[in-house]
Amino acid sequence: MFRTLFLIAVALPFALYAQDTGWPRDIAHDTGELTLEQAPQRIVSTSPSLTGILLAIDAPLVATAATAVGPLTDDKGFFHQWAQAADAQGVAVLYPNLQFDIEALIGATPDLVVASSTGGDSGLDYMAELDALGIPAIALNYADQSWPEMARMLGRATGREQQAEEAIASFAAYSSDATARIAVPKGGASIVGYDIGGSWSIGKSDSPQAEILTALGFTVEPLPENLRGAVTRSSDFDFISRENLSAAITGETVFLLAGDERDVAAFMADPVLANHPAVLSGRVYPLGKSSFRIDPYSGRQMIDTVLEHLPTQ
Amino acid sequence: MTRGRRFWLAFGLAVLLLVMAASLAVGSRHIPLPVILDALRQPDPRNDLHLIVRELRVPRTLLAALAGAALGMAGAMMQALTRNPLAEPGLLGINAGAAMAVVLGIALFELSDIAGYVWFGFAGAGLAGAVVVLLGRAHDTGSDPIRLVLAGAGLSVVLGALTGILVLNAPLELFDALRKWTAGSMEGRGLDVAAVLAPAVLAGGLLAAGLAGNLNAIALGQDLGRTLGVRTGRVWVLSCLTVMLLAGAATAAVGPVGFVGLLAPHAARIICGPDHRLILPASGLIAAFLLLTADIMGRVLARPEEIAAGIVAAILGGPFFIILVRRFRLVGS
Repeated sequence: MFRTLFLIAVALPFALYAQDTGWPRDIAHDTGELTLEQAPQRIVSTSPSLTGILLAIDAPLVATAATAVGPLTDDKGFFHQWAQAADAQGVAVLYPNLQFDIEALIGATPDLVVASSTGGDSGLDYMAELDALGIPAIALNYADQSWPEMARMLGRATGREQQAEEAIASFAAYSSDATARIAVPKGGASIVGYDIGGSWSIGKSDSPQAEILTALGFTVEPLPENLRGAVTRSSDFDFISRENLSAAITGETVFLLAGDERDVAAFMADPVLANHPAVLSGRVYPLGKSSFRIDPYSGRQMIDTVLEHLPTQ
Repeated sequence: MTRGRRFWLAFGLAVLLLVMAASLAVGSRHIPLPVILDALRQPDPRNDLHLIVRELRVPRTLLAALAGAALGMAGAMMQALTRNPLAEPGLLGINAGAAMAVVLGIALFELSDIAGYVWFGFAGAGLAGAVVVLLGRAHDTGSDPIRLVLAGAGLSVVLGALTGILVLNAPLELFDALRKWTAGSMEGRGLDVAAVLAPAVLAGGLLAAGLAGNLNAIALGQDLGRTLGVRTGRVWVLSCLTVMLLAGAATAAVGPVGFVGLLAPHAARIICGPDHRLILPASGLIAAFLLLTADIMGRVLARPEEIAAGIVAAILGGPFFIILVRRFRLVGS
């Protein structure tokens, strides 16, 4: 049922959006409305979280902000999942460490700046500055929308609606292929953010990670209702205390957000979780480090990681 | 020891045990009292609630009590040694030194285990303490608190800035760990941390007990101390080592916690009088009580969120510190 719904959702025709056959066109975004006279030719992204989607729809991206160099990135600060695609397209580093640099941005002479309105790479602070300088910019919220929705919005803003639909369909096909191969274990599954910077969280059923797992045939179990009052903050994930963790994980299979083998070992060795069915049956799996933020590239990596760790048929 | 003072020490110990019991009872998950008692008396490894009590609440309680005791004793020794009512590990740069060294250990050597970075805490506390003592010329101007406080404050600022640079440039997962450690939180630290802290506190406590009599003489001033036959140089070195051991271990275990080491000795002096054989254990007891109370309040005040004990301790200690400074100014003028 979920699988069918997912396939229907990703195959929805672009008719849901206003049919733009030409330019100029108005782009509604989180801080206002931008009128673009023609399809942008020099796009810069100040949000590494959105860069992957821009690359997936073949947008003419010339530069992107880089994040701090670490295990999730190459030596430039490009996320591993899309670094290769960015290099192949010759995308430059706009500025490193997410340290906003207005001079670098002006120097890139963009005809469209794509910014985020949420998260650690939010560009809300400088949208007014860009507007004052006459630099066309849009701010999008990737926290409350799936990447296909984002791809369609960016497709419309860049005149690449068709490429956006192709990227979505290609991902759906990739997911379907994996679904046919995977042997889904009985019982529900929980997505757990385990000790990420000292936090513990449970993925919601409509989180981007849950949508992919649902498409693969899993039933994602959210936080039980009786723990709703124990939630400290909520986004795609409900954050709870470590004391509540064992009661919060209701799935018999556990997937660890942004987790690798070391995180699985830590989860299995956690004395507070020793009696959990998933631990007792050894059904604790990583989703991979890049699963933290889902785009067409990290989504594929997440599917690959699930396939790698679960029995196939 | 008079009967009255013995009573106060016994009373303090009883109160501390009560607060420790409260610490076991309070948490984000409701656990009935009989279950808590069962978890302590007849632990059932198949019972999740028993696991929470034994694996999370017991270590947390022990940690807060041990770290508090260490900071209280360290503060009392420093105040006696420098004859400075404002002396405490946080104010004199020792916490900042330990914090900087621990951050170095975590960021540069990727040490995730306290058994690894506790030595950095010791070394950082010792180096910072030595630098402050030298800059403040505490060994020969023990009666001049201003110079020492300025030296400590200056060093704290410098080390704090350097620590900030290290933390901000650390990889993301290290940054999160450091951020949590820096807040002075008891949450998520297990018995392994308490196991490292306990021997340090025991050794520091024994050293402090051995030095208490000499501290009584030194508290009268260097010259008078020498006149009374105290080998002031040796007492200074041993006391500095003790402070380094106590403050370094506490800071490495729970992060930099301020004010506790300042408040407790003053409260201890009010209750016990000027005898360091009483001030040191009383200061340890009171500081353990304060940090434990701060931890419990942090769990209760912002439910279901938690506020780190170090932050609560600072909020509680701030007003007291202001009162102390005002009073001190009146005395000094």
